[in-house]
Amino acid sequence: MDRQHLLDELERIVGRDGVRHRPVDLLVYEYDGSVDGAVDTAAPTAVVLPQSTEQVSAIVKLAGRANLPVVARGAGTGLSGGAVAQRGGIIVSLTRMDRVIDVNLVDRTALVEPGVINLELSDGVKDHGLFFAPDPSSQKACTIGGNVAENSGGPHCLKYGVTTNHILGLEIVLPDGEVIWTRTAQDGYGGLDLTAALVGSEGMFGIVTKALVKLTPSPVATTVMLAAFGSLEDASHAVTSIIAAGNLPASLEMMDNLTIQAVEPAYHAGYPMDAAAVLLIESDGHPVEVSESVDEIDLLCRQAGARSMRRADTAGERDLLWKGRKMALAAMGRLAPNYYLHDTVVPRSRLPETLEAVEAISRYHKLQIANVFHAGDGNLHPLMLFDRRNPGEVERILEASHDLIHECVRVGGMLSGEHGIGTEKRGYMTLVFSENDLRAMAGLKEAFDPDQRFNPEKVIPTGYMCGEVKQLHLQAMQQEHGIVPV
Amino acid sequence: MVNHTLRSMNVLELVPGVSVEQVVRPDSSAGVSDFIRDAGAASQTVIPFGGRRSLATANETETARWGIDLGGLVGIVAYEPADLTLSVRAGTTVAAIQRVLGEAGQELPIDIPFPHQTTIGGLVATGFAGPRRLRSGSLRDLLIGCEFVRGDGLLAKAGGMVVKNVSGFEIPRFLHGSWGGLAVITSVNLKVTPMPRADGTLRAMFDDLGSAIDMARKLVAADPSIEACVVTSDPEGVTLSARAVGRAGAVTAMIDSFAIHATTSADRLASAASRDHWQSLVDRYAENDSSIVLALGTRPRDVEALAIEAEAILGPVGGSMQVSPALGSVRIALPGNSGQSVEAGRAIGRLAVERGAVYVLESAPAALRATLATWGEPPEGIELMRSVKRQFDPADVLNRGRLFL
Repeated sequence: MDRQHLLDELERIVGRDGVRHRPVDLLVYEYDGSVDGAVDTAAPTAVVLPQSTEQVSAIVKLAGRANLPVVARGAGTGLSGGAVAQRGGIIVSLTRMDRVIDVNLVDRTALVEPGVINLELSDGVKDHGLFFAPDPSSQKACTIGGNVAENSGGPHCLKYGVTTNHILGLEIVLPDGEVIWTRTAQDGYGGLDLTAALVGSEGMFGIVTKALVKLTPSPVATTVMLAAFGSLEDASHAVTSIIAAGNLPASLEMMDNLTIQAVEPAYHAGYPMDAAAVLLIESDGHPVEVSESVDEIDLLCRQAGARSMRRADTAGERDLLWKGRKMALAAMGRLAPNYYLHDTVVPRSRLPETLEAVEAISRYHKLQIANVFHAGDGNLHPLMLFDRRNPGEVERILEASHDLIHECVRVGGMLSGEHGIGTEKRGYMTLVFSENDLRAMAGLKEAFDPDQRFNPEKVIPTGYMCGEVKQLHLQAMQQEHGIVPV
Repeated sequence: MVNHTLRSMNVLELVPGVSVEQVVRPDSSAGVSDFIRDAGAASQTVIPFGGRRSLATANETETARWGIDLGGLVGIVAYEPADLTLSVRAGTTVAAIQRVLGEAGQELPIDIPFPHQTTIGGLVATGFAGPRRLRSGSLRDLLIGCEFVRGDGLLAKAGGMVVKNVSGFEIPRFLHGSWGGLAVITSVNLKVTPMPRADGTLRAMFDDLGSAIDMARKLVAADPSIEACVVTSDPEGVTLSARAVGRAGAVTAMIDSFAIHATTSADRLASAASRDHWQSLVDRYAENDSSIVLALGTRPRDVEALAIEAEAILGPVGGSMQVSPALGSVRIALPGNSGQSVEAGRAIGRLAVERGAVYVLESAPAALRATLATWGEPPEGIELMRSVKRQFDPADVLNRGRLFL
């Protein structure tokens, strides 16, 4: 099938308006939210914007006939290269499938299309006293389909869990174009939990065309506290003691001084500019539970050396404190033109030594590193600040990243808490997984997608898939001027 | 073939109706792997088991087979209270785990039948979740990693010992509820939680099932912090049980607010009495040798109609039912193995299918299994599930013929 024939067929499925193929139109799809340099960019042959499950299925079947890879894409806010078409082929952009089909208040569920924006789902059900709990920083832009693919988290997943805990079933298009609904574990269900396998599979197993999601009842009472500390060490000890004392806040976030320097002048959230670190702690639940737990957390923070404590009980005060945290990444532009964001996760009790190691890496590589992260989960987000226009800076960032990842793994940590592996961290998988572990993961991929049709060259390092030889052959073909044989 | 056999006998009845010719009890994951490889090479089938609590939930098969007893894989691998994480070998009982966690003021927030027999590996494999799933989630939500041996003998792990992790595919949660058809779980890593400081229950009696389910819905809608809420219907009557856990002041306040909704006679249970009440509730609806047990699942919006129809069938034969309205879950227990009970079990299974619900026949005599499929209707995506089975267990060594796969 030559390129023109392919484009004609795609237009037949989704209409002329639903196909992008000019180089200028494809440029934006060469990227996701990752740092250019840490993740290779790649151009697809075409981008299609379907509006129905049937269209997605037809596109996938066509890709099978043309022997082209298929990469599903939501808002493109991912941070690990997952939505980049590494081997070219067809990008299926699901942003036009953005309907909330049904909300059921008895079941506390919503049936949504994959292009629904995370925050818009929560806003849409707010008046019913419900919300969609996963709340990644990109929630104003990212889509539910993308959340499913990456198993996204967010500040409130400390208490409420990550995306996988909120997905009850998925309509998916399989690599042969078949459409099925998956279920999850439930009383009386005699079948495999395909939903569990699909969430977090980074678009490599199936394309989500509908999701049945759980809606969480809004808590009756919520209090947010800001605790300011004179050292990072005191702040991280406070985190450990809050958790160890039996408290489970809704969220427990940390920001260091460098972050405060960026955020406070921009958003005036009320963070003390001279604090070495602040903790943003949210407690929610039954009013009596919240009141007692807030008093206890206040005491624990003071015992750990907190210099000041501030409480926000009204929605307006809470929103202001949160604004600084949620806009922290955007505020980094005040410090440097570029940043590289990591996502390693360590056991909570190893936070103090890991933060020390981050500081040492910062000094050694002469890089500014800001820390703004989900401390309660041990999920670090070191932001390495740089200017890509300076020769050698990207290389220096990558060297520092290598040291950081090794250090986190040394203390029992893992590569990614919520951003995914994609292409960015694929090369590090052998640090934490054995050959057998990777073969088991490859086996699961091959059960879903024996021809490596969906999102090839992601997550699993080269050499573990049976189909890889076939794929190398395909790649060689594709290099011939975008013309691929049937 | 390596001789792994530690205990061997002609025929060993694991539970009534499930016999094996040979049992091994490995004391290491590598031993499990060796044994499964050998079973594959000898074209044998293997039934893995822990506390034997769920072995009867299976299709009957005549295949010659070996048993693998995971009871040799016991003990805590790693437990760091400050991290709220635990790694434990699969044959460890849930009661033993809760004891260790309890010493540090922590727990697994799950309510499961017979915790002194039930092993953690068995629980992951069967995917059972009790009424606390309403707020605290199931073991699926607590699972952060595991080690397993596939049906082809490959010994591997997935996940880790951190509470949030997207490094690699989600094999641990995928194995949850896979009934030992893909792999034998040899150890599991779990999130644990602080033990609630107080525990309370409001128990209210009702004249009819519909009113009790209606109140359950109101309670769940009024208070998102409610830990569990079930309605039981048995020969003694209809009872609603609503549970609150947390700090003492909050639990008292919640039970008070539940009581405001109760229009009928109600009593309150606190601390150990509350815990014991819920333990007996889950035990009563678990698989056992002398009764028929069915688990039904549907959408919460459809559960009331399903439960009322099922009640009409089980009432005349002295059966009982536990409904979790907000979870869409109905558990049925029918006494003995009489012809009437068998007929009622069959009628309830068929009712579930007709109403678009799912069911699993957890415990039943041969007469019922002969006319009602153990695992309900084949699930959507069964071909994909079989494709996964072929990848994990190409020679169909694990639980051949016993499962839905």
